Amino acid sequence: MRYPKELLKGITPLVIMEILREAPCSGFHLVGAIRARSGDTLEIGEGTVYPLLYRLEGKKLIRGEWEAGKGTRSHKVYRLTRRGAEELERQKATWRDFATAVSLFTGGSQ
Amino acid sequence: MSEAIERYVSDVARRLWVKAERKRDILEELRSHLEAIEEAEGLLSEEAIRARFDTSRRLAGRVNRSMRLRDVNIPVLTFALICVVLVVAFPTMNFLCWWIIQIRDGWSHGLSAPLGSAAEVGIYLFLTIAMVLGGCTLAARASYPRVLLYLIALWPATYTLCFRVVSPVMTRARVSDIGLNYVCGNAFQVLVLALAGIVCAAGVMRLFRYPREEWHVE
Repeated sequence: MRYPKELLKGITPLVIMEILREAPCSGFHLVGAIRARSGDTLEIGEGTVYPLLYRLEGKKLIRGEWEAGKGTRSHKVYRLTRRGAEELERQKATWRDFATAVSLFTGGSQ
Repeated sequence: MSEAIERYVSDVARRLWVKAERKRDILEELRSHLEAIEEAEGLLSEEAIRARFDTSRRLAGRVNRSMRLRDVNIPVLTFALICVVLVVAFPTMNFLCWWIIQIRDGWSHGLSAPLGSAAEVGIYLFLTIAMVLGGCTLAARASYPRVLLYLIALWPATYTLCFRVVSPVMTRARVSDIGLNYVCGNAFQVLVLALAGIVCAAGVMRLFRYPREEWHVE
């Protein structure tokens, strides 16, 4: 399902950081992991993921390092930093509060 | 690596406008990502890569409208500032020279020339600030009114041409009456100002056309 851009924009950093909290990941695997973890509900393409990775790296919330792959090709693996972990917890708390508030209007249960 | 990937990466390399080291890193990651896709999904055509990656118009449009400072390219900004300094430097030097001459000659030349040059500095400064701010505002819109931006940027040169070259020559019968040095000096100044204006306008447009660190730039 395709959600409006505005909705995805708010949650994409949280989703990326949550996946990186569990395990370091390359951009390629991250795109697949987002789709798989959301049960094919969230489709966030490379054109969104990479600029966002660069921004998060610029803010020192994640750290990217080149690692040798199985063949000759090396790939850049991203890890969540300590600052990123703190930011993730903050974002998750904000999102929970927000979802609770919205559910008061939509009639969803919490 | 397939030819399609090579072509696409070369194309992005041409359009990506960031520091060399960062550029290498981004391109290497793009190449690595595309190779991983090919490994998983088979050969990619250039159209397929573009359909998947190239969202340049959308990204560029968003950047243009929002005009965020983090999208500003620092080398271009520095270059634009140097141009601005160049534009303002000429009348400022003229102003300072007049004051030095006045002090040296015991204020025997009257006040009109030094005050006139001070006013000129103000006009130039105002025009330059207006040029940069106006240019930024115009360039930030979705469509680029290039002609208007260049006209604003060429204002200092036009001003000098009209008031310090054409007007003195037209109002006097002979060039020798006002001095060839004066005309040539100001004509040279017109050329420098025009060049600085063009570079500055081009810089301002480029400043907001290119997202700072994206794969997909226009």
